[in-house]
Amino acid sequence: MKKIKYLLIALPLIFLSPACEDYISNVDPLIDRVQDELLTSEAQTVFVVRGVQQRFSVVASQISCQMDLLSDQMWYTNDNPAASFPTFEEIDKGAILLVNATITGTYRQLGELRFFADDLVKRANAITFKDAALKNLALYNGNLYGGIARFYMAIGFALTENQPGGIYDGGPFLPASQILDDAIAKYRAALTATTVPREIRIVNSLLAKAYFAKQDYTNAATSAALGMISGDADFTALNSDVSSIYYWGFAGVGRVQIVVDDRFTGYVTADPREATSRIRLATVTGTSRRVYPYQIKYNLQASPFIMMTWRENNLMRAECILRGQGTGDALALVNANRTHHGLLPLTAITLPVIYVERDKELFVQGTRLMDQNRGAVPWHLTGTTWRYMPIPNTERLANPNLPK
Amino acid sequence: MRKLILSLLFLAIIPSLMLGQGTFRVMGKITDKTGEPLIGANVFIQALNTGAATDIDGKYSFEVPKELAKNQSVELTASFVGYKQKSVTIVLTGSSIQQDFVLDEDIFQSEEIVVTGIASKTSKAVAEVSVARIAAADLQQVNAYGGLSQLIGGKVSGVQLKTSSGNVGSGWSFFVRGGGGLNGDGQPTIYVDGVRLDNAEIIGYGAGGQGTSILSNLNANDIDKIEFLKGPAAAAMYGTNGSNGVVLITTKSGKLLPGLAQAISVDYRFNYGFNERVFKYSKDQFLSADDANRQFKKGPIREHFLSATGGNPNLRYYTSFEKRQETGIMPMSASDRNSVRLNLSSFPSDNLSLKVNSNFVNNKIDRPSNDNIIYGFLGNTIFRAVSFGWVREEDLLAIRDGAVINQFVGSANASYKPIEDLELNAGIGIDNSEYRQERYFPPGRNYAGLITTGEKSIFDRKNKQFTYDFNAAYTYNLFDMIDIRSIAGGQFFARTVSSTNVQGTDFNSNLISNLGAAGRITGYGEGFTDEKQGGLFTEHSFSYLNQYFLTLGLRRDYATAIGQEAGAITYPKASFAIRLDKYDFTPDFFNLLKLRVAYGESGFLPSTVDAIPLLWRAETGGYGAGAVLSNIGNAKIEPERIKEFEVGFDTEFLDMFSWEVTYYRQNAINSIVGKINPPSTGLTITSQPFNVGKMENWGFESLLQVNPIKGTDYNLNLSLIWNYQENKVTDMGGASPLYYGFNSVQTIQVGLPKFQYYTFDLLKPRYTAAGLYNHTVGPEFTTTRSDYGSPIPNHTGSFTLNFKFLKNFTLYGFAEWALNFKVYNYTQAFSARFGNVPEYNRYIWILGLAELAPGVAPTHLPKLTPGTPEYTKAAEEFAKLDWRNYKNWIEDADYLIIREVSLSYDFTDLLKEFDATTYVKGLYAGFSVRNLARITKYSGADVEFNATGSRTAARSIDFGTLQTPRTVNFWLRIGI
Repeated sequence: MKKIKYLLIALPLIFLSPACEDYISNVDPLIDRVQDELLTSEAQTVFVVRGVQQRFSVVASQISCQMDLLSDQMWYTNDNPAASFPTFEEIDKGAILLVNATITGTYRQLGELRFFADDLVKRANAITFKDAALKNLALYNGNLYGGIARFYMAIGFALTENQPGGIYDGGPFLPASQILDDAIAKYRAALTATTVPREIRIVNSLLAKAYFAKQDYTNAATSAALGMISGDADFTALNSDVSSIYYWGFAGVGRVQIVVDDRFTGYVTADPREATSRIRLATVTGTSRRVYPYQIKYNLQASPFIMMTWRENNLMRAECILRGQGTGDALALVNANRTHHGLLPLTAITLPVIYVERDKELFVQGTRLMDQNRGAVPWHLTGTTWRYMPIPNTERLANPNLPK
Repeated sequence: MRKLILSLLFLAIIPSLMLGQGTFRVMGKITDKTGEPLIGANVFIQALNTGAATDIDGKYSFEVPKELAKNQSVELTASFVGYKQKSVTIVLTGSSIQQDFVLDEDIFQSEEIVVTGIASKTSKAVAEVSVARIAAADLQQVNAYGGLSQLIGGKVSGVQLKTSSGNVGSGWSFFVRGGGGLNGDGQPTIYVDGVRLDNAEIIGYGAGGQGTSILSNLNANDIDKIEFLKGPAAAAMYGTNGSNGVVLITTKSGKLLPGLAQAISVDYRFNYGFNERVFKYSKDQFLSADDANRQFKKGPIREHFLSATGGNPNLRYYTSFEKRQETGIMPMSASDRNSVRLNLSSFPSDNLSLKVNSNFVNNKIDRPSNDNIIYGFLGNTIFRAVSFGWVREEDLLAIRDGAVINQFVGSANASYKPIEDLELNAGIGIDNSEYRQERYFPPGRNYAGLITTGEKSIFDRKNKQFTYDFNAAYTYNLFDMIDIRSIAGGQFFARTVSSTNVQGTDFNSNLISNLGAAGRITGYGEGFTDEKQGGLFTEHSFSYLNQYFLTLGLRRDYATAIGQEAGAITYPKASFAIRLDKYDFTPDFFNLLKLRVAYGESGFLPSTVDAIPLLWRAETGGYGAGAVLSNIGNAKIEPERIKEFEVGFDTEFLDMFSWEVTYYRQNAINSIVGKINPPSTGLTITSQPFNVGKMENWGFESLLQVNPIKGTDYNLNLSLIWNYQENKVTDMGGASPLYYGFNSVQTIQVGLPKFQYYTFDLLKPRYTAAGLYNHTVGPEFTTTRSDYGSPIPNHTGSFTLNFKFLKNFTLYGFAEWALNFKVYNYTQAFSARFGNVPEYNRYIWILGLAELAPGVAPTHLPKLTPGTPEYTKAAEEFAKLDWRNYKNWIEDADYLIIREVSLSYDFTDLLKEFDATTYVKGLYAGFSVRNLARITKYSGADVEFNATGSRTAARSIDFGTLQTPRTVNFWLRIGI
């Protein structure tokens, strides 16, 4: 009898051990996530490309708005009733802590953009495509956005207050010039993957901008000459109601935490036609009753962020010409922009005039900081301040190649 | 599921219809030592599964079918809560039997049966592990409790419990002993009647920092007792779910009633009360204190609780209905809970018992925004000198944020003895809940510009979890000296969670608020997880001469979440106890002296997808849906393993004192450390888990109880709990330290307790070229961080007084305290930065740092001249207050809280005097105050809350967080 009792206890355990493994494995699959290796297929290529573009759309307006805040174009004040982010105040004053959560988030997203783009190129090279166009789509986008990520890294971030540059994959710090060279190489790789004229012109304009950041106006002129032309649609980062443009949510209609410098009100006062073309402003009244202008160029959540236009290409070409690089009529190039906006043409052109035109034409497009840092226009803050956004502590702590 | 429940109900009811004819009577009277009758004591013959309860005169009587009387000897047992059980042997001849009992008081409940493992129960007097039991039903006699957290908090040695805000239905968190291992949120696994409960804090569309606890659904009035297994030494047989302890809640079950076996006892309790604020903001702290204080109000509480219990020897039932309406101290904080319960116990035959428990709750909870959000009442008042700068008051009041929770918790258990000494047990339980939150911002109002055309958000979460248990227990004897009980069994758990969320905006009318009226959809999502766990265990308990006790056990665990390359994990346990009071050398004044030692292992599971190396998800935007990273995992990941050793003693002496002391030490190995990749890799969506961490914790816990006055008219019980804990992270496998919380002031890193405050020290002010304090860049700080204390107290404890006087009055008091404890007062730091702190503004003014708004600037003070000693001194003082000097805002927060005070009166004697007991069996009334007073050095509103809710690593952060209220209750209980 005792044996039977023991058996009654032991039997379930003997039978259930293998059954347990089956039991815990028998679960419904995830519906909202997919394993990495399944994406390396021709059928998933468009899905992966869209992911890279989506991350670009998040990064582009985010980093641009924050660079504009650090530049003399936008600023932050607690007097503004909707303002509450101390991290914006730090950026505005160039007194930025390495733990600044806003910058930490942007830097992380930028790292993702570079990884997603490079990962797309790797996948494209690992897949045996039946459809060559699909492969080119992947290689064009992978290299284009890989270049853009590197460009933003070089012009947006720094190791110390005035030491711009970036890092790949937890490696050592690389100076901005080297990162820009890599961006340029990526852009050139993108050019090999497309035969679409507009895409080729966009990439050349981006190449010219990268050379501008390097202050290499010779090569900038060469690329700009092949860049976007009047009639080309703007190259933008697409947003949506679900994935809003950063300017709308933090420096615009959504919530005005960041306002624009008063000189833009002055531009509009001097020429009211600017108000309906290049410098679209609204105002908000502070607690002290002071009135602050803010941008409404991007007045919707889904407003596309403008990354490159034929007008910026014209301005680059005009500046190169005035710097003795490239050929053409600088005044005509600038006036083509103005005519497009319904503004009166200028009668003479100089570099300072071009910088003012850039200030207006590239309003809230994330370019002003680059112009200040390349010496086109003076730095506006006194003392030792950050002229780029600091590579945040999250990188410094986790990267053994950086000083702690 | 409905079919299953109906079938089980049918099975439970059938036997009650099969009562036989031809009986004899067993009867008698039960009294205490003083001759007072004990009302409601149970008397039963276990062998026949029959019995009764005593009536108002302490008399019992029940009938036994004559065919069961075969001249056999059986045990007749009398038991009563608070008294030591007594048994006598009677011979069943078929004739009536008269048997009286005089029961001894079990002053310290050492004879009560407590749970000591997954399938083991024993009396506390012989338990080999530290056991904790809360007599919830007894506590409810003298106090009013709004929920489970109030019943547990401070009442179990070694266990800390904190509510994260004063919101009604707010989340709460445990910190058990030294905090367990490095992983997870530190929460124990909670079972109610054998059903593993969902213990989530649900955030949904956030309200700043706080979520809603699913456990807030549980009706405290239904709880009979709560038992706590505090660590792996006791909970090893619960496997990978036991590392932070196991809480076992037992709800009330049907009882045989005094007198007639078929009688029904109905209890009605009405509770009226209110919540009010404890802390009042001062104008010395905040310029806008008056506006903040104006937001608070008294929140009424109304509770109706109706229960009925009764049955016969074959079928017992307990059923209840509760309606509880509670309003918080802030607008939009309220709950309306409706709970229905039916618990049935059936004994169809001598060797079979069935139990079916079921509970349905409908709970509607409104939640106000606070903490880190611009839609908060507190944020809009105390964060800025000019109140409602972000959102106008009337617009805040127009927000609607409510959740409706429907939850069914049910279980069915069967116990069968096919042969003598062999018991087979099986149970199935389900916890099925749906949480639906709707948040609505009406159109035509301005919410900081972000929402001007209205916004509606709906979040829906469905949680379904099943618990399956079975075990076989065989009791036998070895060499006629050693009693052995061997148990083998299994425990399985399956859970699916699905959620959907939708958000829309652009409502053109405030008259229609359904999502269909939204002009644009601005957010949507869907999630689903399915996870399972299984465990097989065997446990063997040896008892020699009822003096030496040894238990050995082993559990093999399987889980969906365990790494793809680690299919299972094994946990051992061993425990031993010796009753020294049974030795001759032990002085006679010891009523009980027991030494115990125990060792056990448990673990903490990785998250369900941690074993998958890389996962991608879809993100939508202007380009449509594209692949973005979702999770970074590790195929080799295993559960963290926590080993616990505990040693202690339990003693009772001089018929007056009881003292339990336990020392424990836990070592966690294979702790999962999330290695954070540098963001330049792009692989940062999550950290990558590795089993490389270690941590250790130790401490002791003690419970001293004294019963200096005993008697019917006067009885005094005092108890003191004192706990001490230390913990330290010892290895992170070279991973970077983790920082979190506002301004990254808290850390997990080697050499420090987890969650420690760790930030930079102030060096000196910096000055501009003009000699002004450089307010732009702030003062100079050290480049390395220092330790600034812990958000988790080292010392905690409580003191309880329970004094019965003039026979029918009971005065109950309960206080909690904590030492070596800090809170990060980010409320004060943030408000200073926004010009709302007078002291801060004074320095801004005299140092000439900024123009301040009219009414804010202390214009009567002279401005100091840069470069003068007065200026330098003031600058040095201001540097300490600078908002960037984070350590300045980490404040001492040791506290003493008068948690519960109540006075109640038992009218039963009065009823007897007026011969009213025929109609009303009992009448009780009472008055209680919860959180009567809070004594602390901390300057903020509360010491127990947390701005990031109850499940985050960031702890004890004060950031516009709503204080827990003072609650006043008046109640009346009538028994008929």
